[in-house]
Formats: sequence, C-alpha cells, structure tokens
Amino acid sequence: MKLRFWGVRGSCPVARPHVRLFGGNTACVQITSGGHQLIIDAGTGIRRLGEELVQSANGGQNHLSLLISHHHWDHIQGFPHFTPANDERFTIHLYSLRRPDTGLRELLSGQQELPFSSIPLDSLRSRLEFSELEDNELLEVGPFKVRNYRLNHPGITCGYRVEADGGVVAYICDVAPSRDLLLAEGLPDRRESFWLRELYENQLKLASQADLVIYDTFFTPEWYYQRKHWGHSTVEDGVEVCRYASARHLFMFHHNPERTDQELACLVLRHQRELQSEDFRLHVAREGDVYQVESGEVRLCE
Amino acid sequence: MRVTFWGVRGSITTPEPEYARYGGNTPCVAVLLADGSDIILDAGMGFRWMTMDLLSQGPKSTPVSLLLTHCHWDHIQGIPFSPLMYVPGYRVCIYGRGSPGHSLQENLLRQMEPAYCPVPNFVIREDVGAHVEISELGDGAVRIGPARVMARTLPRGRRDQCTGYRIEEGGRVLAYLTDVEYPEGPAACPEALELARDADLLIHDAQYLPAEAEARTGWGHSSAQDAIALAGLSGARRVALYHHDPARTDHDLDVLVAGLESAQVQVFAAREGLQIEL
Repeated sequence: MKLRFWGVRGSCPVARPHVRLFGGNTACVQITSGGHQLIIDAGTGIRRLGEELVQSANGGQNHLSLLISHHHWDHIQGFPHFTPANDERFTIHLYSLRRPDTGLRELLSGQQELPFSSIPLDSLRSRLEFSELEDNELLEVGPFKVRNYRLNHPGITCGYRVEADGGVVAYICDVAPSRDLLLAEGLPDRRESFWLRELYENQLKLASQADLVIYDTFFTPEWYYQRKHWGHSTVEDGVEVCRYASARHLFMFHHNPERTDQELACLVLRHQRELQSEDFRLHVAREGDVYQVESGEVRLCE
Repeated sequence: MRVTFWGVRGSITTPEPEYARYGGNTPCVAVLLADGSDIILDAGMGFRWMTMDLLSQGPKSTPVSLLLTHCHWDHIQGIPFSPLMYVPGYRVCIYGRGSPGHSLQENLLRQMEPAYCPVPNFVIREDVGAHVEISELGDGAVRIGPARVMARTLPRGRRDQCTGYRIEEGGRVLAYLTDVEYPEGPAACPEALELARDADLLIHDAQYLPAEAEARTGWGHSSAQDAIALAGLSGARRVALYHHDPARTDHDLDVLVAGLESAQVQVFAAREGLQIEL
C-alpha cells in the first residue's frame, strides 16, 4: 500500500513561513491499495486531496472511505472544503467511534449549519454513508482490514490499525501518555489506574509489529509537564511504544503550530542519533511525502 | 491610524507555497489607533498570530476591541486558538451580530462545544483568561478610544446578511466590507455607500472573478469589479482587494491586479504583513 501525508500539523492550520518545509495543514493521511482509497482524518489537508480525487475520478461511482479519529476541529475542519463530497460521482463511507451523546453525522452537520457555513451537509451532492464503530471492531473495506482502539485524549478518540498487502500502518493520534492523567471520557466505570493501563495496552496493540507508526509528538517533555491536560505526547513516548511493540518506522506527526522547521529538523536529528542501536527508525511526517509500505519495508517514493 | 493585514484569505487556510507571498491565513485586519487602542476586524486564523504579536509587546491599559462581520468559520476560527483569550488581565470587547434564533454569544460558545474544541471557557468563566464582553451592534455606532465606529447590515445575496464597518479617527476613514454580495449591484446598496463614503482605504471582498461570481450567485461574495464600482460611487480613494479565494494563487493575484490598471481608483490586492498608515 501507498501512504501520503496531506496534513501533518496539530491544533490549527499554520500558514506562516516557519512551517514551509514540513507543512501547515491539519491532519489528513491517504492510504491507497489496488485503486482503493482510505483516508484518515479530515483536517485542512483534505482540501488538496479532494481536488486530486476529483481530477482522477472515473465515470462510474467512485468510493472513498474516510476514518475520523475524533471530532476536534483540526480533524474535521477540512470536510466542508472536500470537493468530492459535493460531486454526484462519489460515494463517501464515513466512520468514527460510536459516542453516547451524538454522532459523526450530527457533528459534521453542525459544522455546516448557519451561521457558520452556507452549505448544509444535507445539500451535498455525493452519497454520504455514515457508520458508527464499536470499540475494537474489525472493519473490512476493500483490501484494508482496519481495527480501532480507544486512546487517552479529552473526549472520545480512537487510533486505527490498517493492514493491507502484508503491511501494517498504525495511526495513533491524538494521544496522551498513560502516566499521569486519564483524559478519555465515556468509559465504563472502573478505576482510573485500570483505564490508564488499558489505554496504554491499546497503543501497543495498534503499533504491534507495525511497519509504519504515525504518532502524536506535539509536545516536548517540558511542554508536556506544563500542559498535561491538552492530551498529547512527546517523541520519547512514541519511542517507548515502538520499542515495546516491535514497530519498524516511527513518524512524528501532529506537529505543534509553533514548532519551526528548524526546530523539528534538529529534534529529529538529535533523537535519530540516540536511537542508532534500536531496531526501528525515526522520521518526521512531511506534507506531500509518499511512502510505499510493504511487510518489513517502508520506502520514500520520489 | 495604522492598518495591518494579518489574514487575507477567504474560506479556508491555505498554507501551501503557491500562496506564500499574499498569505494563507483567514481574515484578520488590525487597526492601531493614536492612543494605542487596538481594533481588530474579524478573527480568522490571522487573529492567532496578530494576538501573539500583541502579547509580545507587554501589558496594555486599553481594551482590545474585536469587530466581527459574521460567524462563518473563517471569521471566528482564530478565537479559541488565540493565546490572548487565556491570559488574565486583558479586556476583550467583541462586537458583532447574532443570527436568526441565536445571539452572538451563543454562536461563539457553539464553536467551543467540548466535542469540537476542549478549551477552558473564557467566554463565560470569569476565572479563565481575559475578561470578555460581547455586544451586538445592529445598525449602530460605538466609540472606541479616539475612534468612531459605525456598523451597517449588508446583503450576502438575497437571503443572508453580514455587518460592514466604518472607522473614523482624526479625519481619516477606513471602510471594511467583506463577505458582501450585492443582488442589484453596489449602487443599489445605500448601506455600503454610507460606509465607504470618502474613505481613505476601502477593504473589500473580491473573492470571485466576474465569471465565477455569475456561477456562484447567492454564495455571499463579490468581485474586484464590485469593489472598484463601490469606490467610484462612494468617493473612496484606495481599494484593497480582500478575502481571496483559496484557488487564487500568488500568480493569479498578480495577473488579476495587473488587469485592473485602467481603474479610476488605486487598487491593490491585500497581502499578509502589509502595513498602511492612514
């Protein structure tokens, strides 16, 4: 399968010179295999992906699957600008974790209501098929086997493990470490320590022997201790998960809006030096980069 | 007064390199008055960077006044991501309009519902961040420091509306009309003429090319030709084309402006970082 980063920034899109190299669009990742399209998250990066999908659409019905990790703005704000959603040649299958209070359709519809937008969700010309996922449910879409696991982040968030063509991609974003605070909501009534352990196990299940792990590295350790309740992790947290889970390639993702290209480049170099003896490699997710993922091999495409 | 453009892009933030010169942040214009008071027009993503700059200058004795034209995302999405809202000691006065069935305060709170945005609620909680006051101006006027600010309701096509502003200080006039669509042309819109009359600078929506405007009737935007026509009718001296379409690259904007050389008023495309002293 092929994976392309369309948006790698966290919290809010950044159109400033300090992010030109790694990119300022919010979260969006495209995975393709045998002509099948799987998209994870609908941050602002999905706008450009949509233009490309419309240009390459065929005459019949074009099917897309869109997995949403959670409903914070930076993971859904691109959807009103995703042109396939307003094109009758497309059927879009949308998935996110079931939540007790509301659902993905209601939340996307709320995003496009007056007075915030002039184009209601109901008026879009594509076919939108919504499905609510149960915890740990296995979803099969074309060649993709997708399993979700709950993560520790304010609200209701899951990560996705995608298997296809003998390769495994894990999307672990947004996520806080399990050492201090339980931030996930709507979990059955158990002790906080039980859920912290359980949610950490979930990270290991997502990343277990994965070829490519996309990980929320929003914080530096200093920032983490000042803003624990924001629900994000550090490179060190991602390294620990990949080590225990025997994953092969770790991608820093969901970059802090203030993190400059230079800081990000220095950060990855420093960690790469420290990790030379490990069995996995560290990379920075950069907007526009495409990787070929096969069992045991991850290759940057030219 | 000193006018600074912090966000000039319409609809959605465009961080890609082909927008780097004119800028990809959604709408925000800062106006610095003679007494040091700040008026900010709209709170798109430019608002985040504007207010970070403001905070870096140290404490302010004057309130920060934010004038909102309407509540489309690209005009309010910077608010929860602005550090100004989380710093105690600042007073932020937000002016704008409600929508049918909802007050402005309700709409700003909807942006911060926990399912979408898990931030501490600086609007209703006195113990969190800046002291926030929210008022609806209607077709009224308000004094902010040494300036007089006039608000008027403008059409966004036949079904929707927004607010335009006129800021007068020391004999200088700034008019700010964005997300406006004149169903019968600007000549038939007395509110727009009143706001722009003899303005030193008219900042005006120019999202569409004339051909696009025809295909997108009712979407609530104007073209450069509408902006220039309004300037001609109202005696405005300079026009800043604003709220650029996300499809319009730097090159497209250069071409657009080059094609307007024969206009009777001075016209330019608003660019992020541009500062104009009136």
